Amino acid sequence: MQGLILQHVGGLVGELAELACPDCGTRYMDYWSDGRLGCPQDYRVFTKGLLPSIQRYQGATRHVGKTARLRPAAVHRLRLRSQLREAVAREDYEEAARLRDQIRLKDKHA
Amino acid sequence: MTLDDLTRTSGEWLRGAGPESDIVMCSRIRLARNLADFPFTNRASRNEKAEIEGHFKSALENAGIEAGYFDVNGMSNLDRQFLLERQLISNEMSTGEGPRGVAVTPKENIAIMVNEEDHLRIQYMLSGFRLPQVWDEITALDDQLEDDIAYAYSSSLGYLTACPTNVGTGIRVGVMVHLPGLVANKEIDKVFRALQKINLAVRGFYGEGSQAFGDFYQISNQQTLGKSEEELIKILTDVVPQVLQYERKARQDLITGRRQHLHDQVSRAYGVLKTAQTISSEETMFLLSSVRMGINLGLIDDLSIAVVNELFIQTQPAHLQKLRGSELGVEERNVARASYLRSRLTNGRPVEDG
Repeated sequence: MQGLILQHVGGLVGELAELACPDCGTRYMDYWSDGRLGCPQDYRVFTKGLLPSIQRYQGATRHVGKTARLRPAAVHRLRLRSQLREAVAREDYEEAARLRDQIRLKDKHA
Repeated sequence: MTLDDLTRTSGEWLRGAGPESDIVMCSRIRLARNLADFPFTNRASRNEKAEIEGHFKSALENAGIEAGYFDVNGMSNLDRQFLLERQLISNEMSTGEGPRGVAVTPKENIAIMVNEEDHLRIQYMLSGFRLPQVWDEITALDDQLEDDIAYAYSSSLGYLTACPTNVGTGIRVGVMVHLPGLVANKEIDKVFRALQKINLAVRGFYGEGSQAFGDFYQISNQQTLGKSEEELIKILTDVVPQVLQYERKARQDLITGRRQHLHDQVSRAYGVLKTAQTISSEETMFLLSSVRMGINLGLIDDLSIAVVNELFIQTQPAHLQKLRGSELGVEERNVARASYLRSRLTNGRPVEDG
């Protein structure tokens, strides 16, 4: 399996293999094994590795068409949620409660 | 709206209305959308999936869309199969895990899956060949949901999806076409190869990997990035009429070359469906396809297309069991299917669209 991945990822391995998304914890290698990304931020974190394969499959790397509304607070909530998951994992419930309040506050400003 | 309500009705997309509906059963567009502030479904925890479901439900309510929400996580396998047969959920949604579901409007034009591969898979279907109208409807619905949902989006890559094969517009534009003529004259593979060359996908009735079913096929785009929604729709609205032309020519050749043979084949198919005492799903699809083409060629005049379209769905295993109100084994289903067909086809006078 590892050999197969190396064969496909080639020279990018050294640079990308250990790269992990700070928001969802997905590693670039995880994407290569199941073809799915972990969160919207992965597109930014793994750009270097993703763009060539997007170009191959889609024949383009730039979006044309409908645009979404800008919601800058949402990216911040994604980060807070990842911190919340970590707090719950280490059983720091005080911190978890604080993060939940923060997310709720931000939710009001979607 | 409950699942039992659905068993008593059928979707608008089966009505056989709209342009080219002798061949184009329905036009369908789906949009893949994700919430910007959650991990994609495959990485989301149970709690996060439940939150996503909650956000979606309130967005739907605020948009004032009258829809029933079916909790796929808590339902029986039979009910999941039933929604799958109706084209309201995908196989992936049916076999997935954790909080997930589908919102469906009473006419079944809209079906929005929550926590499938992407957080939202918004589907809009209309009978006949009406892709631009489907786009107008679905983009308005998308805007309404966006009032309450922050979509994952980047200015360079567009709508961000769990799998990069859907990134950009996140759109799949498709038509479901009935091609018995091209199957009969064995030109169908040639047509499919030509479509694949221009980057269009051809799938069976039940999507990716499903076998062709009653000579129905779905033709849709594969590329989602680098072309606008309108451009992708235009590819389909330019190419599908050529496929329709080939199918019409194939049917015409069948009827001019071997009219008596074709009339015999269609009448026998109708006869078996009206009188059989036990019949498999496979044989039913095969015969219904023949009858459907027979109606379109004027060889059967006492049955409507809408009834035949409905029968393709309502003779599926989960539908028969829901109609009967009990679980049935294969043999029992074959008897129930034959009985259901007899009752629909002997009492089945032409049904008005509307």
